[in-house]
Amino acid sequence: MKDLLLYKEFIKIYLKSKLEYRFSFFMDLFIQIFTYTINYISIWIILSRFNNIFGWTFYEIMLLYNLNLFTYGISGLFIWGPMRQLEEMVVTGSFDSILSKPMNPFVHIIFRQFQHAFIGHVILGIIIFIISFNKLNIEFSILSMILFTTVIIGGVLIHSSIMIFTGSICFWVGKSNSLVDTTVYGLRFFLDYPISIYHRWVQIFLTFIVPYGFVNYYPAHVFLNKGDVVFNEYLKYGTPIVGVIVFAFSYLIWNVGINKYSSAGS
Amino acid sequence: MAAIIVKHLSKEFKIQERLPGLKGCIQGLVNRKYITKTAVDDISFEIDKGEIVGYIGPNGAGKSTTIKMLSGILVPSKGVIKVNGIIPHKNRIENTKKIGVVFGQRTQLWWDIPIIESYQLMKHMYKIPNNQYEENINFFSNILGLGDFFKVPVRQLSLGQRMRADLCAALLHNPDILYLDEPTIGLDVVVKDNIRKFIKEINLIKKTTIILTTHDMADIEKLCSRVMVIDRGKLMYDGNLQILKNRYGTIESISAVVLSPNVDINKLYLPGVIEVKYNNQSINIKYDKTTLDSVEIIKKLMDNGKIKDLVIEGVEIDEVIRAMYKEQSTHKEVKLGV
Repeated sequence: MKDLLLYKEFIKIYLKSKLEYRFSFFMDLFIQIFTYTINYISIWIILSRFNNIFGWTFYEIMLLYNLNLFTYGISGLFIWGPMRQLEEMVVTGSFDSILSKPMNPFVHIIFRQFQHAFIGHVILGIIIFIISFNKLNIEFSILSMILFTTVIIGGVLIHSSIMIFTGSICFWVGKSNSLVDTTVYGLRFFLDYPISIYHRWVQIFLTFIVPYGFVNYYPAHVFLNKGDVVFNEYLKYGTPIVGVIVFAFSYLIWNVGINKYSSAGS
Repeated sequence: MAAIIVKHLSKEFKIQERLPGLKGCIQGLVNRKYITKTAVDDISFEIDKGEIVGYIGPNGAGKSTTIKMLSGILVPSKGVIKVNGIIPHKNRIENTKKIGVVFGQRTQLWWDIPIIESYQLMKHMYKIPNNQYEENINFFSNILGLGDFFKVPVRQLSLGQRMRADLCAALLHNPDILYLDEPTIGLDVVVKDNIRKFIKEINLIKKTTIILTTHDMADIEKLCSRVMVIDRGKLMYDGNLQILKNRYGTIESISAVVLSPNVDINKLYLPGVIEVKYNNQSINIKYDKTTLDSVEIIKKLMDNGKIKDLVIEGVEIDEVIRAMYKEQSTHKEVKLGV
């Protein structure tokens, strides 16, 4: 509770410092919504010609895509900014000031660098969920809402873990942004379509190594009656469990990394 | 009771050996060689509550590394540190509640927002009670003169203002120990003096233990009775400043610009003068101040011509360390002041 109050103070400061540059603040939001809307339109264009991809219709793909976008957006609000800036903090030594404050350093950098641009993802995500749930006639029940919530939490944890893990690598190698970018921007694009369309090795990779598959492909089956699930039927319930496991793992890596931190000369 | 106990502290860094040229660069990509650099080498000392200790040494001596280990930022490679009875890097959060850190080169404040907002956040972060916060803000802003720029964002502050703002930020939570890493670096004489007075006052009123690193000898002279000299990771001297100066810091120099065209420099070699450099119109005289008073030299200079400008340069820390090495190489067993 006290932490939440502290977070409120941080957010206040963050917004104040961002609103110093008001134009850029609103442009950031607008550009994100604009970019991803274009993405949805491009999926629609493809599907309006082919009707379906491997048995997935437009709205099903939309739900799939949105599970990724929405969880990525929430996770990005809190984790992306800090992890992207970690490299610079570690190389220049400004991470010192994080370690000399009476707060858990992990909580501190998250509190400090809320990333407002992702509000765009979240807003668009909510709109798309409403549209696709309606079009796909997914029933609203207490059970489905609980399942949906756990899937979202699991997805957020998976995205966050991947960002934390790749970001923490900079404690060892100094620079890690290229790795963050490759995973977050590169690999994540596999999720635009159901992973069942890819080669077996890609499926194995996205399930067991970088478990992006649990963000959208597997949990989508909870809500859609699509029959065949890659590997095993029960993986569709795996999202929250995988989320917790990978999050614990990446937090461990982060903690080991902090003790490797070597600052910079001054 | 000692506030800080350090025993056999070492810190090693693994750094990549870089070969010169593009060829070396490419070679480094494929086959990297690492060398271990010992930044701090087997240092032991104790600091009592309420002391002001100057931690001096040339660039890259290991000053900042020591401070960073004391404040829990870096994990030591070897040795023990206890600050107020706790191990800093293991109980980082507990430790940070009781210390204040100021890095002269880097601000702890938010870049884009007024400093008073940063202080508000510190208040929440350190859970500082309202009355203590108000009291400290008033007290510090009075002596540091912060009132004029409370509402100015850090990015618009001058270096001197920023330094003062940072000092205030580090002290809001009434820390027992204050680490100052180059607090006067890059500041002009007036601001330097203000900051020194402030540090002295805090130590007197709040009984704060203060460790400051610097390579400005004047900082040390004005503030500290005890100095620790570090060079290449090793503690060279730990003890009284006066003894150190009497022993090693006796060489001063006078630089003067003279108007008369020809000065006979041989006349300037008074007993105690070590070296005279004469170039165009400027004269530089190095002398041992234990045997010769500066007044004598100035008199002699004035007898020999009209002086336009004159500066007396005190002891440089580099000189002191050089003198130390000289003595240590002649009597190897001498361990100084410890």
